[in-house]
Amino acid sequence: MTAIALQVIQSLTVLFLAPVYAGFLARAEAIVQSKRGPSVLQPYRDLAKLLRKESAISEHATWIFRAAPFVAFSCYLTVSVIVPIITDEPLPLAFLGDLIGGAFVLMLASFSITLAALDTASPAGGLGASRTTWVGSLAEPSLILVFFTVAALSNSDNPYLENHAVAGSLSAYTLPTHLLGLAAFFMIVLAENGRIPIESPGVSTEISMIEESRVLEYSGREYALVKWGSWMKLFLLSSIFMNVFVLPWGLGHANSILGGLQGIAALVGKLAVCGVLIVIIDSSFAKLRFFRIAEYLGASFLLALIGIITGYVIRS
Amino acid sequence: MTGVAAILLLCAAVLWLAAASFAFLARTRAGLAACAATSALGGTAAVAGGGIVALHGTEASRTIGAGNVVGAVTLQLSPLAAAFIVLLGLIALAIGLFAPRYHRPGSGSAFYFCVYNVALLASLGVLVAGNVVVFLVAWESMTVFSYLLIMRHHQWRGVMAGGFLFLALGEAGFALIVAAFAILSVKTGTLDLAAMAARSHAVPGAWRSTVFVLALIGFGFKAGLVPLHIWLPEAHPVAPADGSGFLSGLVIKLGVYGIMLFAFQLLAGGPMWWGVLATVIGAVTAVVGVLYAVIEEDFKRLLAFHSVENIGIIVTATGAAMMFRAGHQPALGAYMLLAAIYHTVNHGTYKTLLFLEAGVVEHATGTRDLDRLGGLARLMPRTSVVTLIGTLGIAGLPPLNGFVSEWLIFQGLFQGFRIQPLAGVVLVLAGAALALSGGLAVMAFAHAYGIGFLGIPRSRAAAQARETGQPLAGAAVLAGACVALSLGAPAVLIALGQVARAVTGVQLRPVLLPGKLTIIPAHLNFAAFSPTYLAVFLVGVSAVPLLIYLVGRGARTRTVPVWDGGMLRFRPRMQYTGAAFANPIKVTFGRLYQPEFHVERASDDPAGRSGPVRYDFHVLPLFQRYLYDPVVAAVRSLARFVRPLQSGDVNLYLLYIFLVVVIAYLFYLIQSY
Repeated sequence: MTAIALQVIQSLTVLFLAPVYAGFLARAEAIVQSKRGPSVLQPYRDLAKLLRKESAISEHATWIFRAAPFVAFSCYLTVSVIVPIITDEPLPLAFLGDLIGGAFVLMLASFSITLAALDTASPAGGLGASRTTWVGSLAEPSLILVFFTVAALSNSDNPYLENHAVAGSLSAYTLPTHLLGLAAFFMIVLAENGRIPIESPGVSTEISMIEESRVLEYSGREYALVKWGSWMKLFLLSSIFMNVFVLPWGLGHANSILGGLQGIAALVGKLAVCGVLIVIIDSSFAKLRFFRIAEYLGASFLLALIGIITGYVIRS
Repeated sequence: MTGVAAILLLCAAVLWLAAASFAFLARTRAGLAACAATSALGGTAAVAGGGIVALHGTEASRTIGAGNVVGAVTLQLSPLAAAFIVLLGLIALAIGLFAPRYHRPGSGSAFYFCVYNVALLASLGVLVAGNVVVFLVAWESMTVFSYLLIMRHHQWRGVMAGGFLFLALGEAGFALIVAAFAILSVKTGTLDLAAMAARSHAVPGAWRSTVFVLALIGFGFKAGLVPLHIWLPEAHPVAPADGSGFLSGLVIKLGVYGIMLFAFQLLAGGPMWWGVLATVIGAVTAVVGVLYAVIEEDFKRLLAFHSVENIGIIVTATGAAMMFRAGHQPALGAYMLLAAIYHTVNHGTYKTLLFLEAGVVEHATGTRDLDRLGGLARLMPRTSVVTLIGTLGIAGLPPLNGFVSEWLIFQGLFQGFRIQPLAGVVLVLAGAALALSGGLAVMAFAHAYGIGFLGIPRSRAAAQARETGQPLAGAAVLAGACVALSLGAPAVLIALGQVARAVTGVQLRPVLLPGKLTIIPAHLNFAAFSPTYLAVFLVGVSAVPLLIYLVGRGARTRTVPVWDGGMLRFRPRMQYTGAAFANPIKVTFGRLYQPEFHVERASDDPAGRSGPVRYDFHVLPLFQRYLYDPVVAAVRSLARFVRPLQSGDVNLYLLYIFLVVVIAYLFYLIQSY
């Protein structure tokens, strides 16, 4: 019973804390740039506003355009039940998938939005669809290599076991396999969520848009779901990054509700660290020219590859 | 039980033979329907028969004919072949349902049906062959009758060339396959496959390796391994839709069957480098195949190149299975073999589906050019939904079947750390290659479906597409199979687990499927997943966004023209094109494509009123230019060298015969001393 309650709490945490995390990033970024910035609660106000507004849908759009936000939203909720967010032991539904299963589910989310972008006949949608799938497909090899580093370290593809392996021993934590995998994964987190150096978040300049132009045709309640979904994605990937790779400590025990609440408190602290890291990068680097993104993702790939090879050599 | 299976397969063979014999009836609509129904019934029998053999997991063989070596005909039921027999039956069933509406009754169709049913029979022959002679005869008939399938519209442009390429490369492969069998049967002293498998371990290692390499290349021609793949993109588009489906769904899979037959049964394991070789070739094939698929504008050529990619994935998994076996990880070896077979069945299902639907689209619009399609989701709703299921399957997205087998394959590759490090690194790189090809496959099918089916119709022909009278049932059966192969993954694993046990002797079952419909990849505590529950959860959890949507109580939804930035009128050509969609890939991998652009403008008016613009894009045919052209040139010059021998003069030919007799006599004299 406790486990089921924790399962629900975990998904609700992702659902309801994701907007404030996005708000925190926007506020922190403004402060770093010597501006005041919006309140951290602004995303909630945006959602409330969007949910009340009418939507305008292209006359060429089919059911695919209308269904895509629901599919993507469900995908993010599905990922939220299988990865460690607040507890250090798998919750009842964690058997649905593992790390790569989660990656496939995220791919489905992206694919549905891509089809929706092409569905409206809007040229901007096609542009965003093309660019996003390009970045996504080139990020795929290095993501898989990160999973290989996890497997080499913890003999599993299970995020909980990786967490235990890294949290349990300092020598495992300091292995190059782990540190390089961590760096490679962070680069992918930035790329997947459209942060600098891939894309300027929140800037709507047609010529440089990648992710944002894909959802340009959405408005009203559908846009609220799309937006909320993308915040959940950022929240999920940041949580996996912190809980599995960087700070695998402080997760709550899976046998009491109190443990879960303690896990949430720890998570908030960790995400503050991750958010500050992202904001520092956002403010101190320039956006890459589009075709140089391939080099960036190649660097992430090589980091992970070196990590795995050292891991294999050390094992033998 | 094997008796029942044998009878069912016999029924399938008889039904296909009957359909072939009475194909002349296909000159009328009713005859065509009856003929196709017979063929489909045969497919159903083959599915049942193959399923029983796979689940039962035992081998049985029967020899008919005299005791002398060449005259005997041995047929066998093996669990490995059974998985392919099920696929064969499924495809025959789908095509049987599809064909009556696709083909026009007439003598051309009658001949086509005859050829097609014989091709089915020959494929079954390959899969039940128990000795070398039966195998080779069936294999060659399968090749020749598939060639005739491709030649259905031989007067159309490109058909002759595509068919010739298929036949030429098929025969080149056949020569190597014959060589492999010849060496093995001489060294083991038998033509019977079972006896060969039992005795092959005594054959010296160098000969075993020669046989393996010959078989890998020989069957690789049929499977479409890079660089032997060039017939696929030429032959697939020119065949009728169901013929392409048969080629891609089954014929190339028989190449995979051949490789598995040699690697796991006839030679039964080998040194590590065999596996490394197969893995590397497979990984290269996967990446090269998908890189050509993603930029392709012709729907059927895109599918054909994508078949190359999937063969690459399957062969990579097969190679990894061999590596694990050689690296003393029998459980992982059996597991990877299972994953490879699973992916084979999955690919046969959704690729056939997509080829059938490509045929429907071509019928409805008269074109296969994605940039001239569009808007079909609205005009052909049922076709579009079925195609979307196939698209999700082939792109490896949950909750469909491609996702399940790709997950299984990745889980196996992740466990490369369990064997020696150098081989492990090969598996890591293979995993990275498969990840890249998986990512690009998503892009390729976003391209195919997004440009081809969504948006505004990009040409007048596409705008007039209608789906009344178009075939639906065949592809719908395959769509159902895609869903079943995903939701029913545990059942599929039970059957394929039996196959893997029969082939490798390792029982995977208790670890693989511990309960709760959860799948565990070969080792406990590595990972777990449950495609069945995942699909249920994905659908169920969509209640949450729906609730949020309803709670939102937004004002009404307006339908408005698409935002066009203030143009006077939005035209279909202003949409993003397929060429533009794939352009980032063309730039990133420019070294492979070495593209040639041609842009012609009517005028260079600086105000942008350039008039009609013509844009051409050509990819360098790398393999033709640097591999096949030199070979063809060498053969030609050799032929020129030999040509004087054939002067056409009868007296000269008589002289040749005389000389041969004299030489033979001299040879005899020398020998007898």
